[in-house]
Amino acid sequence: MSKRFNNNNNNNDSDKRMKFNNNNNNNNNRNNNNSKDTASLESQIKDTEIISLFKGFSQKLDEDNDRRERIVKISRDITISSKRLISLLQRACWENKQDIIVQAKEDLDKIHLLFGTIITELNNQEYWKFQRSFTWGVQEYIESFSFLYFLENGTLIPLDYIHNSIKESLKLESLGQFSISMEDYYLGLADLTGELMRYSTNSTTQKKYDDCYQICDFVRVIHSGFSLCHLNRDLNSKLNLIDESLKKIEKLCFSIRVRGSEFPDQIMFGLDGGEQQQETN
Amino acid sequence: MDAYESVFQKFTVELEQDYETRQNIKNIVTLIDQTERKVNLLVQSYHQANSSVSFTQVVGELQPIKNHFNDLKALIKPLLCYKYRDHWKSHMSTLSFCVLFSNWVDNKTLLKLEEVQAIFGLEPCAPGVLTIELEDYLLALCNMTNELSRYCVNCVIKEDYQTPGKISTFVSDIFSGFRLLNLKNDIIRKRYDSMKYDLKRIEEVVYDISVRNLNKKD
Repeated sequence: MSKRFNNNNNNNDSDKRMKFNNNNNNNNNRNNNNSKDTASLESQIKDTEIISLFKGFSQKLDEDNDRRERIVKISRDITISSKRLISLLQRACWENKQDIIVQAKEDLDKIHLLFGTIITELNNQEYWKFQRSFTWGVQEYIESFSFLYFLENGTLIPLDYIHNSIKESLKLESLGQFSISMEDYYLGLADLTGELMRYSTNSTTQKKYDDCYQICDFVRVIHSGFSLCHLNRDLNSKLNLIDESLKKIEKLCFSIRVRGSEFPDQIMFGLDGGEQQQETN
Repeated sequence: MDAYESVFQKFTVELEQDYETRQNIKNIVTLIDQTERKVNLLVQSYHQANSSVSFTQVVGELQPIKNHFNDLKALIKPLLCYKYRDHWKSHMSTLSFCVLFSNWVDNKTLLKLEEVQAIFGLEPCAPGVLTIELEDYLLALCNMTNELSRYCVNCVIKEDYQTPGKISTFVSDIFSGFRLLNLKNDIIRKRYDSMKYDLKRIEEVVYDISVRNLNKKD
């Protein structure tokens, strides 16, 4: 007993060592107690009871942790693929738009397959248990899909359309408990405005001024729509981003009007100078 | 704008519903909190020299909470249970702690998770069920070892020289149980890391008693 006590006192200097010693102490402790205790059998039974209890816990914790890790991994894959999709779509203003859209749809199909794996990982009613592990992926996906939809149709993508597309790619009748939550949907849409700001800047370099005006109107609608919403914390910070994007696009449209009137059909040097260069890079 | 109005209308409805649910949950949780504080005070009196607290009394005081849990269950759809869990998570571990600690001091046994759930009229863990989760139970165990290290000292003050030995065995069993768990870098891990200091404090008390042969008296 006293030896053990000294051990503990001497090893205060290093946390790691202390832990190691403690592990040893534990075993000693149990042995000592067992030999000393008159009811050694009883304490042994109790011991195994607690240990077997914890073995069960360990299994449950591992299951959950493994599942969470797998979902996080898929979510990361979705994020990466969605980001790639977005940068592909950004090229649409100086390459053939139709070709890009066709390719984007193929890529989107692949992302939908990743959703299929998430769905199989979730049991009934477990959506919100793991929601935090895949919400970023879903938001990024909404951003890319709504961008694609806007380039194709010039309007806002409906949530039902997203659900139907996932079902179609996975060849499922219904998604079961899984659905894109309204929360992820509007947070994804809020991110879309940033991409549209980049796209409108790129369009200007290609002298596609009409696109620019169209985007400006669209972003303004999103902005006023979100302004009307009952805001929570997440949305409030996104609204600031939307605000900034909208101001940048409006400034751009303003410049097109003002300078365009001076030099019709000419390349407009120095339009929104630094910002434009930065964005196209 | 008109074309999109319905879309944003839906967002507003969703956001307002969410806000309202959270407010309702907060109201119920405040009631739980009141009872919890009362019970916590009761459990604290175990440390006093001549305490008359008993496990049955603690469980009796906890009865109103059953109703509050039923209110919560009625309010929240099974699917959304995990979404709002943060609101009551910490209360689950504190309440479990009260029951676990009080039971151990009285009966020297460890209540299983299912037994704790049953005391509060809650169902066993399953997806979509509002109940005490394994995580809450484990945190309660961490709280308990910490409280036992204090109780150990107070036992000696009360001239109870037998209990510290039992506490020491029990806590080191719990500690070796925790060592079996593969913990992530989360709150349980942090609490578990501090458990060795609780164990150390208890062992010091046992050492002090046994070196003076106090536990061999009567």
